[in-house]
Amino acid sequence: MLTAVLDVLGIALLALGSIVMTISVYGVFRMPDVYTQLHAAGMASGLGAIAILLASMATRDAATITDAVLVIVFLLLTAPIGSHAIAWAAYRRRATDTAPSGAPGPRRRP
Amino acid sequence: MRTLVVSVALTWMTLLLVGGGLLLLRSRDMLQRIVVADLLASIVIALLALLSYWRHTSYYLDAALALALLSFVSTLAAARYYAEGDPF
Repeated sequence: MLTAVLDVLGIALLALGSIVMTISVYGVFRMPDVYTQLHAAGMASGLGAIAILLASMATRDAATITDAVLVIVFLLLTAPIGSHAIAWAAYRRRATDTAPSGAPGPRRRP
Repeated sequence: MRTLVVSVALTWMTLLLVGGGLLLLRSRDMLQRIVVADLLASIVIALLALLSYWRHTSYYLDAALALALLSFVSTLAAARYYAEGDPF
């Protein structure tokens, strides 16, 4: 009973992760702007990889589940920071490129 | 049954990796290349997890953890280089 539930849950999580990864790659292909592309790319490391790593519970192996939980925690910590760094870089570059001289753009870091 | 599902997912992820490589080839500027490289790193993390389920070995997930760390640091460094001219 429990093994059947775990198997079905693992298969469902694998399917969810594959579908979300596909949508994410298609979104990066389709979207015109860096910000909207980032919105699509953040989904891959957010929901896609985490769903596939959560499917490790169907293996019923302690070492695999422990490592997968470590990777999930690391991804949850670092994926928003990476996306924020890319968006910040786009904003900074665009603001300094298009702002006329003397206009109050974003402050330069010392 | 599980082996079949995992091998189908492995095949699909490999196709997605090829699609991401094509995206990287047709990207316009450096920022788009940074976005696609981040996406490719998360696809490879998922591929390593699937390989670990397929071969019943947990060592591939250690490689996935190291790859997550490396891709995080490289994304930060590349974004800061793009914005400021140097990565520090």
